[in-house]
Amino acid sequence: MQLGTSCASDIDANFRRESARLLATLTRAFGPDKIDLAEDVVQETFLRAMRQWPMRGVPPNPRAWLGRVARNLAVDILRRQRIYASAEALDSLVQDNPRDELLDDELRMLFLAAHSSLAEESRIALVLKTCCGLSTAEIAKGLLSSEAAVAQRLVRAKASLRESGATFELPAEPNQLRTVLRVLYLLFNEGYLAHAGTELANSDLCDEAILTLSRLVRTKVGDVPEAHALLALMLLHSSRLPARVDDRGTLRLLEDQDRAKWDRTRICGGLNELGIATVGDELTPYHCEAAIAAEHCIAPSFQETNWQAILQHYDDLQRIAPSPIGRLNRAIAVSMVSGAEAGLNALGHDEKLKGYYLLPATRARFLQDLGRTEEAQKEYEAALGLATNEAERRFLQQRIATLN
Amino acid sequence: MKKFILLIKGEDRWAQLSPAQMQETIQRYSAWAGKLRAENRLVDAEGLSSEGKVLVGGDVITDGPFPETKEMVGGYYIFTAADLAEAETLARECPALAYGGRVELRQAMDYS
Repeated sequence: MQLGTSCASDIDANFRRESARLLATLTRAFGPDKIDLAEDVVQETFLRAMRQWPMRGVPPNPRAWLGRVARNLAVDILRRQRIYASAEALDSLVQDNPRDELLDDELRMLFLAAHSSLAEESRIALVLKTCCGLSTAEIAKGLLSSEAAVAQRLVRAKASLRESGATFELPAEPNQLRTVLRVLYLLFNEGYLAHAGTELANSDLCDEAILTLSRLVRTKVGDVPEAHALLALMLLHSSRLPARVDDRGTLRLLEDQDRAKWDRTRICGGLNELGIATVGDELTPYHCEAAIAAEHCIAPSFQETNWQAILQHYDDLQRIAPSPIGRLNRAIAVSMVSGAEAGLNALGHDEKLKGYYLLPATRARFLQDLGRTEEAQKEYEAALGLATNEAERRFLQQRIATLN
Repeated sequence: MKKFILLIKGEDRWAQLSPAQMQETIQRYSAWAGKLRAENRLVDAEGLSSEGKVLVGGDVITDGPFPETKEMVGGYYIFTAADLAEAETLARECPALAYGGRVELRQAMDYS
């Protein structure tokens, strides 16, 4: 044997990405009712790499090595278990696929994982498992759930896919793409909000959503204004993540954030995507939300923000997709344009937002600005009781301290 | 220089690792082995398949190697060092130890 053909400790392949690719093609080979089998093959492939590479060195073409081993393992299983598999799919495991493109098989996997027969939270877990190459433990950490709960969710999701007879096809109608976009949006939000944890944002999940979507929009199926708008939204929002929490882990409001900490590359990328998204007449909620985020990102300071434009985008958003949270955010824009009294009136009392800490927190802020300190105190305290993570609680305590 | 063999055991937790963790593991191993290689110490190294046989005299053949994964040897490195103390220093850095594994270090006999 030859030692030291490659002494590199860096592997010219991304295991997470390669595992998602192998799994997608193996799922096409075996059929979407046998994802478990495909997962076993992927797992064994990587275990073999773990056994061999540390000793013999990393092979010159790691991706080709993984594809070859996966194919051989799959062929062995077919012989032993006498099941059918697509020979063409197995052969494509050993093809030298372009590194950055989302393969058709990966696209199929994305649409399968976002299948209409699945509950929303199952879709998120399944996308992370099958399309992003995360382990059950990593998903549990990201979703602030237990490993057992995630494992069970995945088992159920795969069973639902089998029962519903889901196929492994490229989508035929726009609605299917919309479901995928929605899953990626929720995945991003899950990371952005990271409720009930001590860390305010789980940027890993945000990055997963961005990475997957940025590959999706480069495919024929995904190259639509709505998808570009969503990508713009994610890039613009995530650009502010570095400034959202201070050194002590306290949430920082937009007005107190150090704008020098915002990620310029992401802002430029986001504005670029927003430009691509607005070529046609289509206006989706993602367009409105991205446009609002863009206004914040391009404002040199909080005071110089174009609140009039932001209010306009919120009006659009409430017109095409009315929601209690949209109303709450719009009220803030109203207060910036016409003062706290107007904001308070625009806020109203929405039953659906009962239990959401930002409603009393926003009301408190308006009352504080109007000098109604006692009422503000009560509202802040109500918000404190509803906050779900440490950063939110610290933030509210600081606000209460400013009252006195 | 004396010759040593390092047996790696207890990698049963490997199956629980995520793809990203597996990549990190391999990278750490490669860095460690790369140093042995760069210092011209590495004589041989192989990972061992879990398939094999344990043979004893007579007609008895067990499936082996060992049903207890803790005792299963997952791979070996043969390298040179001045003495056991230096070999131990090198072995201490072996990434297997960071992942709940154990290593067995043995010196090759040389009484000439």
